[in-house]
Amino acid sequence: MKNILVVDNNPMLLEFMAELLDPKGYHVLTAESGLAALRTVETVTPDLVFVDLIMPQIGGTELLRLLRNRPELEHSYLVILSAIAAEEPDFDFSDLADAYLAKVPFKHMGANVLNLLEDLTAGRTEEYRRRIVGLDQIYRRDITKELLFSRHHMETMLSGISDGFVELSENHQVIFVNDAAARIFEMSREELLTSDFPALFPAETSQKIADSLQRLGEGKIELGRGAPVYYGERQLNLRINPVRYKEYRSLIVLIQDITEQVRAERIIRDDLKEKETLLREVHHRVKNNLNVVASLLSLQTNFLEDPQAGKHLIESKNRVESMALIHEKLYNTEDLSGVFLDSYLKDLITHLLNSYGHQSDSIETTIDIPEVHLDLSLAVPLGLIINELLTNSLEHGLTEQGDGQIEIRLESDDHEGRYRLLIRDNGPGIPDDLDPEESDTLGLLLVSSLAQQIHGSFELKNDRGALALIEFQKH
Amino acid sequence: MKLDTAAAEIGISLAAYKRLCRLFLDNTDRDIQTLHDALRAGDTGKISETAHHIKGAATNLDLEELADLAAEMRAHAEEDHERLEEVLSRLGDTYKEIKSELLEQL
Repeated sequence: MKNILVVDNNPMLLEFMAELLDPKGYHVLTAESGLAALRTVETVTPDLVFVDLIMPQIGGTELLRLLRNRPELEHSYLVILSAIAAEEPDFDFSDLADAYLAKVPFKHMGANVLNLLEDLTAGRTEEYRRRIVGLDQIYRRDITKELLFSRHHMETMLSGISDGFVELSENHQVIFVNDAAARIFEMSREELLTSDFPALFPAETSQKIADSLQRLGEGKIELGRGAPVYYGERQLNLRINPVRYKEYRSLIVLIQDITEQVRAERIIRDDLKEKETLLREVHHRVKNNLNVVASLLSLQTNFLEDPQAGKHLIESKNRVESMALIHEKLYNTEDLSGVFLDSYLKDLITHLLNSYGHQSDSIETTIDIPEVHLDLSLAVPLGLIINELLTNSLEHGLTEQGDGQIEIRLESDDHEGRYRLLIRDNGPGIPDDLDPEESDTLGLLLVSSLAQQIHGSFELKNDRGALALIEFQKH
Repeated sequence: MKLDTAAAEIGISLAAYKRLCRLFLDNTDRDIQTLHDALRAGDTGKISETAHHIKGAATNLDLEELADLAAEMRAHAEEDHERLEEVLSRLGDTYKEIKSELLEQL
């Protein structure tokens, strides 16, 4: 038994073991972490390994399992050298190591280590398998107990989370891995430890991850949303964060298996697209049907001898067309939930002017409306209201002399959460005795009724011509 | 503390024991400075961890008084600042005595 490897992150302990054993003719190798120990056993096969249990960069328990599974270390004698013994005196270490020495003051530890080596040489090993050596010499270590609890607590939490959690050394080797990450990679935790992380992935993805890790610097990165990261059939999202504490450096990789999420998003997107197509088609058909109704009404006027009846039919046709126009707007736009009021009004005015035989430039129209998007429940009644009021202006208020003016303005009262719509013409105004509430004309009755439907008010008065005021709730 | 007696008790040479003592002094000087910094910054995690280092090193060399003070420091890491300052002050004084005694023999 010549080569002895001591693995502990306490430099004093390493120095002590070297000073103790070198003069006795042993070749002592030291490693300050589990990862460093694994590098050492790549080149040297130790006859005996002392391992502390609490260490950074692969803890002692994982290291012992990894060493135990290496065929070339089949005959190596594994010894736990740890202070945890005080808190776990009945700890069953039989599947991890061949012996367990409690970490005690050097004055006792030296003798314990030398006795062990002597007994091993003499073949007296059975007793070491059964009990922890040095328990009676240990110094009470409340600190270790608390740190141990803290470590177990952290590991329990990490093993409970559904996302993968992997810690990498500076050269991207896996030094900690939780159960969820092991499930994602379909490997045991021991198999993953010390693996080169980028090399776990297929060549193309591996290169992408390796490049990202090289560029990481001080910042954090996320891989997998923009350009997919695949592991077999799984699509993953990787969040990589550098960790710096004193001289300690590592990388934390949080791994989300987003396969189902991406699939669900794709299904939802496809469903939405399909429903949009259907809805667009519905609006198209409604618009076509309304236009058929409008055409029928228009055709019917040709068979009426009573001009007044014909006029009423044209008014009804225009009402139907004001609704059809909204559906036409809807199926031609990206957003199917409503229409932009200014665009709709411009088209409605042009349509009405044509309907009443005006040239579009024969009446000066001023439209002052901010970019307001109205949903269908508001747009349809409002379209009908505006249709009636413009019809009134065109039928009664304006002449074809070329000096007609129509002004439409929408004011927003953010404080009250209301809109105020003003429609004014420069005609002779309304008769003094006209009361819109008591009117027996269908047009004004419709305006009053529709204003109530949208929780609004309607007022008609004279102010340099006829002025209609509609106030209504924004939502 | 006689270094030659301690070295013989452990089973290593006096020269080797002196190297261990120098390592202990280097590490503990740094750890005590870290404790002062952590206390100023209110970093209880660092106080616990550093106190643990000191306690481990003191236990290795069988310096029980120093180990007890480090344990006390850790036990009260999340308690009031004044208490921690007082324990750190005692820990510093104890360490100074140990250091002085060691340096005389190194």
